Amino acid sequence: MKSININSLSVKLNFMIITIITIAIVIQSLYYILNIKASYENNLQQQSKINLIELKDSITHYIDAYEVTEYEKLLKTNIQHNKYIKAIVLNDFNIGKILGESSYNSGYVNVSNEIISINDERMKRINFFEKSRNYISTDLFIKNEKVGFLKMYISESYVSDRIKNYTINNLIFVIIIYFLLVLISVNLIKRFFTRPLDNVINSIENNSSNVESIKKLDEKSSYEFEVLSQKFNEMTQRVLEHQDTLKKSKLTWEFALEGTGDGLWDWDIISNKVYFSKQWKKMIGYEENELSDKFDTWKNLIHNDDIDYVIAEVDNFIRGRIDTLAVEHRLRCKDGSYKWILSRGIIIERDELGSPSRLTGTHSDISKIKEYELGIKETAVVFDNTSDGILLTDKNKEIINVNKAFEDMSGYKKEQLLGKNPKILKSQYHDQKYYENMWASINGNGSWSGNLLNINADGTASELITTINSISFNDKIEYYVAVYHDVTLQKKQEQIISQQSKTAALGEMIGNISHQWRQPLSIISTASTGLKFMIEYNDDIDKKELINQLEQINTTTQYLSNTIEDFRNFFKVDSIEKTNFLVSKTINKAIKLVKANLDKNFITVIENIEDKTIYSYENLLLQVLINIINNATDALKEIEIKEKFIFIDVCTKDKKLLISIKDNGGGISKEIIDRIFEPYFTTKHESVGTGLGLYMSFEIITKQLDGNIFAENLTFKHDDKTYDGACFNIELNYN
Amino acid sequence: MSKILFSTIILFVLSTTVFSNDKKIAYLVSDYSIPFWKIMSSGIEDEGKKLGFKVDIYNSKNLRKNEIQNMSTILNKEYDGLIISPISSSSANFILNLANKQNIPTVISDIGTDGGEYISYISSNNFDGAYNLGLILAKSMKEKKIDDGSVGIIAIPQKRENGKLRTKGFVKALTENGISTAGIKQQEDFSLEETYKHAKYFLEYYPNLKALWLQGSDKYKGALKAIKEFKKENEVLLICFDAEPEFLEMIPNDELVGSAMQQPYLMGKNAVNQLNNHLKGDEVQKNVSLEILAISKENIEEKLPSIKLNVLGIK
Repeated sequence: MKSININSLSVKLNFMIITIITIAIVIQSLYYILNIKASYENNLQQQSKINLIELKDSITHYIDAYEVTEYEKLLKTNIQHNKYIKAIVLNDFNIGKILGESSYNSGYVNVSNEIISINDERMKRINFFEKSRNYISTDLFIKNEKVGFLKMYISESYVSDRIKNYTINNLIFVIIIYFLLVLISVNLIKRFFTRPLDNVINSIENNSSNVESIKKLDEKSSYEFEVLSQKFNEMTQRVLEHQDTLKKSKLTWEFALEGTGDGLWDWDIISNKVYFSKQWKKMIGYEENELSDKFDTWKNLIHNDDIDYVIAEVDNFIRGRIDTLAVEHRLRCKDGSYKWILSRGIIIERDELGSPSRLTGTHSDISKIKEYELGIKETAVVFDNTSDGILLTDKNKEIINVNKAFEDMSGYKKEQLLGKNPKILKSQYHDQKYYENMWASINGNGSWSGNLLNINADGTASELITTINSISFNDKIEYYVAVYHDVTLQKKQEQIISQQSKTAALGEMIGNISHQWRQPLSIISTASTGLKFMIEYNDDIDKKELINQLEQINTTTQYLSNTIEDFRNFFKVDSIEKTNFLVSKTINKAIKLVKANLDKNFITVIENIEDKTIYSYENLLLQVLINIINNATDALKEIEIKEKFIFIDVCTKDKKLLISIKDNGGGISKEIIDRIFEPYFTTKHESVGTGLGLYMSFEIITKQLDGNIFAENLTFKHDDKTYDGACFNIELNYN
Repeated sequence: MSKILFSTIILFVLSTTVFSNDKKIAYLVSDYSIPFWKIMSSGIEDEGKKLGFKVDIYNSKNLRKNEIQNMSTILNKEYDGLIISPISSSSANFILNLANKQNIPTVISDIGTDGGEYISYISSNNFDGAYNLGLILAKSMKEKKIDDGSVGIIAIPQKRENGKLRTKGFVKALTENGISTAGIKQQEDFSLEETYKHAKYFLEYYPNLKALWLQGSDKYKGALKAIKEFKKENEVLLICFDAEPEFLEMIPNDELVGSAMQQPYLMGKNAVNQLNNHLKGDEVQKNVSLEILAISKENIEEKLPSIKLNVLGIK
């Protein structure tokens, strides 16, 4: 049920009508009652007079006949039948004369509807006749002789009782009429006033909530409402036109705004609805109909780390604690990623208390700016912390910044260099042509890389691998940045690593040699010992057996010789030149060199090799293969499994030769798999592992063989069994 | 001698005491000239004398004024008791009220009252008497085979209770015997002329009239005159109520079918007795209803002694 607004015109009108009807009914009723009362009194007067006259005749007759009882009966009957008579008294002079009194008094009084004789004892207690003044009377004559006096007292409450009864009897009728009048009036007001007015109001309300579906008011009504409807319709039309203009203007503005890539929002604080423009939604990957127009739509997209701050800022702005609303925050895009947004807003409407009721603003995608900022920060970190020296000049080639590394590298302090031209670092080593070519590359390509020999602050020279880039904005060079890498240091580092790697490789190979030679040496030892025993303790030497043993020694010695040759070839420094070679042969060489270790650890090598020839550095590849096989061997050594395999597969695909070496050693731990190619990274004790094997393998494959190497964990099947292990994949160019 | 004288004086005093209690009673009668009331008065006097009352009779001559005046006189004379035979039951009410104002014990003898207080009411059983009378007439009419005719009633004022009862009883008897009435005419002045006129009326307008019943007795001659004029002596029977001395001959002679005879003498006696009882503090009968003798030719002889004394007051 609708609550009743006491200020409503309809309520006031109804109240007025009801009041008027009530007053009219009351006045009319009072007037009528007064009239009725007067009429009753008048009638009563008349009636009582007539009654008295009628009674007079009869009484007189009875007086004349001395019929006391008869006239007493008549008096009693009269008062009984005429309720308006309060009392009736007859003074009979005839009887009185006989009885020696002035008169014989008869009569009756109506006391609370009980007719009591005036001679009754009870009448002595009721001072009726002294109080009553409302009576009519008449003298009774018989032949001109006064024989009696008749007095009729009129009941004072009779009229009021009748009025009361009349009122009560008619009350229901009056009430019915009253309510009918009220009902009719209320309904007429409702029909001709309230309802048309409500229709207008509802229409306005509906129209105000949905401008696009404004309906015209029905103009068929009473004249005033017709006029109101007409005027409203005209006004609505003008509003529509204005709305249209506004809409176009808004669209233009939106279009202009969104042309810049910014989104638009418009927040009605009271209803908490927010308009998000198409661009606003598109900015974070949503279609126009995918987000609802609610405040929470935006709130729920804010990054958890930003929400408290953002809401606080908005609140502060609304409360007037801050003058502007410009808050950077991250919004969750449709794809789950976050985008940096700058939200700006202004207050465009306030309520009657002056509090903001409507805000509007823009959303700008500042993710790039943030990236730039991050980039700048990162750049600054890199700038300040890199081991390479960085020198920055403006477009006029005046030094505007150098980093610490450059200071350390050159021996110059920043303050000494600012505003100077980098020419001050120039040595005489390079000729003019060199610098001209350098600048031609910079100005033409935007960058140049090469070696520069610069003079340090202390006069010494440093060979620097240098990269110089120009930085342009709007196609205009604004800065030059030079990055210097001290080759000397690098070279020293490379030498160290190389030396260490060679040492490590040598160590491995020696290890392999020891594995290779252990068994053959054991065979030779066993055979020679056998021969010695045969010679010392057997007079009849079996010639066949002797030859057999010697043959075995020879074979084994040959094997050892071949092994040495193999290792010697491996260590040949000058064997580092590209040749065509069969990959299968290289793999076989590698297996042969590490066979002893494989056999010792009961490792089976399973090959699936396409016989392909490549043009590359065979020995370097061999080194890598040995290193990987040895790593697999080490991994398999550590686990307790029955069958230990190393699978070597070679195939070609998309002009690449793919070599994969996988084992069933359980795989490489996820925590370290990404670091295995780092120098000095090892899981073994430092006494047995240098951490350089895979690093060198990586360097050889990527830098010297121009290929790719990567490791992964695999689950694979062999002979219907499933195994887990590490797999090293080598990709080489294959033409 | 002195003893004798003393004794004589004592006896005289005693005798006067016995035969005179110093109480006096008044008898207010409607009309002393009417034999009925005269006989009643006689009964009252004789019984009063017997009981030692002084009885004063006040005759109203059937005028209310007189009745009231008499009552006024009675009130002033401080009677010990009052017997009334009022003009009407209506007037009796007033009389009783007056009597009660002065606390005079009152006995009503006949007529009755519409109200007021009394100590005893002596009445005739008018209903039974009239009923028995009706039976006599019905029997006679049947015997004469004229029971298909009607009966005219000349009545005492029907305002009187006794009048009503008489009429009711009589009509009941007729109705039981299938005999219709020709209507009723009431006496007003109780004159002979009046009775004559009423009888003539019935004879003229009711050709089938076969009988006339007078609720009174003393004006019977007026009815007979009318019958004679209409030459219907042998056609129309006459029957009365109350009695005249000549009825004792008329009934046996078939001049009168019969009459219901009240016993006024006896009524008067009873009235005095009840008053006496009251004054002595003895039990009083509130209502004493005496038999009305329905006399016809058949039982007149048998009832003659009662008729003579109680009805006619012949001692």
